[in-house]
Amino acid sequence: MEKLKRMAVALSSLLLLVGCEQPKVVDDIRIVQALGYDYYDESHILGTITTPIYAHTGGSGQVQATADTYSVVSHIGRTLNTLLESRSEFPLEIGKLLVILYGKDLAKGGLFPYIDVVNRNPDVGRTISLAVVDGRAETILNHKFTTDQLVSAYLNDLIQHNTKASFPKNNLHEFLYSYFGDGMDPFMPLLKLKQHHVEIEGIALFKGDNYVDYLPFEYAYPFKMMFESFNDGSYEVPINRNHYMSITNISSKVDYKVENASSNRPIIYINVKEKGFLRESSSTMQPKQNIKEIERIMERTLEREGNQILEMLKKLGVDPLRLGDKVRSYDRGWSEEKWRAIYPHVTVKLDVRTTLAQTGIIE
Amino acid sequence: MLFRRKNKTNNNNNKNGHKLLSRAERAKSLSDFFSMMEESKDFVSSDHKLKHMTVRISYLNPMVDPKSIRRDILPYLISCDATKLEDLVHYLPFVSITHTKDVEQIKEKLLKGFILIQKHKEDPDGLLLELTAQHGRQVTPPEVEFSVIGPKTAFVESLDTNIALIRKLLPIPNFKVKEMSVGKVTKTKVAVIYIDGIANRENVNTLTQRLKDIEYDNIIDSSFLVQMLSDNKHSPFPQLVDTERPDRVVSALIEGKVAFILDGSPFVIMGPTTIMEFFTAFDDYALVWYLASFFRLVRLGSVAFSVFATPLYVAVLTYHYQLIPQDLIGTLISSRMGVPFPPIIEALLMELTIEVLREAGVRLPTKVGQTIGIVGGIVIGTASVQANLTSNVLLILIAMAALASFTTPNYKMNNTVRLLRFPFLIAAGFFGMIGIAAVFAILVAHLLKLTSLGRPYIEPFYPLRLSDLKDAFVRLPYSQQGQRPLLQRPVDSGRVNTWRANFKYDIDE
Repeated sequence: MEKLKRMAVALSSLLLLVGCEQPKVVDDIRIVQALGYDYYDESHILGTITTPIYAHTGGSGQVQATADTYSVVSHIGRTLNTLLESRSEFPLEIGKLLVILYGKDLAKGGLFPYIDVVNRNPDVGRTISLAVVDGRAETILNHKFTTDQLVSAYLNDLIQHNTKASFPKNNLHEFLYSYFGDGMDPFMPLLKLKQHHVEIEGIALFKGDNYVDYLPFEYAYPFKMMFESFNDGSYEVPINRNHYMSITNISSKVDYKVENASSNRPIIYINVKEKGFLRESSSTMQPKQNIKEIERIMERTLEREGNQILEMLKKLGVDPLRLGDKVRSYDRGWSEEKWRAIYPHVTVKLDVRTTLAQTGIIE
Repeated sequence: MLFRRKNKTNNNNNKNGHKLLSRAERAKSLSDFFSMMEESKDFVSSDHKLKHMTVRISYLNPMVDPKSIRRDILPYLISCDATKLEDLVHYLPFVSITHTKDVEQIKEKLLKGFILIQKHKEDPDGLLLELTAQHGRQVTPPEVEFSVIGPKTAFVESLDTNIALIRKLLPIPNFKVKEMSVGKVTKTKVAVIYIDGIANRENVNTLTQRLKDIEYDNIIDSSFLVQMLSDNKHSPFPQLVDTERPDRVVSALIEGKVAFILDGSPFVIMGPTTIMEFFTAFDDYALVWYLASFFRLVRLGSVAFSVFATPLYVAVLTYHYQLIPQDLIGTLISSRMGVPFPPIIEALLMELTIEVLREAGVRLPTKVGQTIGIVGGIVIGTASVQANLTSNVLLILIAMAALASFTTPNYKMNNTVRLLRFPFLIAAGFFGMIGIAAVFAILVAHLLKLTSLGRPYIEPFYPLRLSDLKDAFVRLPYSQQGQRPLLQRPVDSGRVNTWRANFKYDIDE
């Protein structure tokens, strides 16, 4: 009896807690899938959201969702939420956020306040895509694309699909890691609207949270090759002025070594091992006889482009390749200030070894 | 402790106020008993004149076989030269004839279908012959525990037939049958069966004692007894396995289990058992071990699905929209559009509909049952989606959960699974995933505490006994089944002579 009483008290106190959790039934909320931030004027920003609107099907399959996109202008420092909510019939929920776009002008002035919003929110996933827009985020979000999907899913798929191939891995988690980590700087894809498609224009480079410059998309492959080990990327080798060969890599492995880490002139060795196969060739060259030559050309081009990237990064003083972090792992007395000072003069030796495993089925 | 006495010293007290019984038990003398019996029309007692003496034959007419009286008793009696009652024993064609003066015994046997031969009505001296009529049905194929492969024999309502079915498969002297009776009014015969030398004495004694201590007037079916002698009488989980298959009982006995058979019940109860045993079927042992293991895992998976599918739907749709995959969110939202209820009400409504259908279907004749299935499944399902009372995604989940719950081979466990989802559902509706986790914690705590005849109920997992895992989630091949399960603590733990089984013969030229 005593046991039963205790049980009843426990259960009824549980029931009293029921009022504390607000239900968010899926069809009674507005799911925000994309956020856009743009520079409006010196004291205002333009915030844009996209939410899907699903039609009632009456129990017969799925009807295509339509995107509802609208923008509000808000004073810097105030949250957009209140203004956005005032135009929505259901509470806005950002738990299924897919992508956040930042206008280039806004990104120059520092992005962190606009990333912190999602950083603190446990509802938001860590794998959402972030991107800088060459132009205005609002324009892209309002554009009618010829795809079946909503703009938010379209952009997310575009970025994620490229990260699986030749574009270096990036998402909210990677951005925050690089932003808060010592000896590294974040980067994002740079998007641009080209007629009816969005194109990845390149890698937007950040110093802290300020956009500084970008690497063109052609450099994405050599950048990724130095940034991480990966496979399934594709790269074009210029055989001569008019002829290119497209190589798809089977594996690309990168290995770092640092010498004289604690001195003022550390030497960083980046060894890349590329293994790939020939996919397309526009040249009249007989690939079979010239595999060695193609390999050599590819090694030379990748090394040249890699060195160009490294030079540019050093000149800008940004470190998205996380070289500082690599040096730090060799040097107990490493400090951020010291690294920033010596970074432009650091010696980086890039060595690429290429193996072509296969030249296609027409041998 | 309502039905089980703690001390078993006083056997025949009337303290509980069984007025009905007290009168019968007061009939200390035979004449009292006769006068009581004569009030019933089916009691026959008549004098017969033999060559040298007269006898009085009494019996309960419907309980005995009238043909046998005419054929096996009367001709021999009339033609015999006996002058004394005890001499009759030599003339009658019966192996066992009880000659007794014990009124209690006469009373008991007479009511069970024996016939009584006396010199005259007042003489307490009598012969008892068994002539019980066999009213039971024939041995039929199993209906509840049907299997595709394997023997198609099921127990019937007769204790003797059931023991015969088991003995046929167990021709060893170690097979022991201990008989006793339970039920103050029904006096039902119950037999505890086990194999001496394998079964642990402790298990036998526990079961015997619990059966002896039962204090209840009406014991009709073995399922009554299960509730009375289970370790935890309030648990939704059955703690003793019931089966209608002799082959299953025999394999259990050989594993070292103890079982009991109740006269009049076609289900034999076995113990001690674990939760896994309720999800095993005969086919698991008839197929190759990996096929059997796969189907067993499917069965366990469908039980988990059956319990968690709708609660998870309710929790995710009410509180955790973040968990829905991107491509599914559209389907879910558009199917729920316009449904006037929150997901919890929607789910409860549909779950109850399914339960009503099932209850209606179970007790209907087969042909009408099918109609109910069609009416329920198609008409109500489609109509409720079209009328916007429910989303079609939920309808699919409910239907699949109902279907999945039928994969449980044991009917009692099946009912448990049916009930289990409701606490989960309600917790999911109020608290979301945390609610599901909390109810799950309560469930696990309950299972941890459960015992079956004093042995842990979720045994191979807690306490972890690795060797018993050979027949839990997966069923390993027979070559790995050389040891009896540890749960039963068998006296003889080995199933095979391992030395002989592993002996390698030399190549003989």
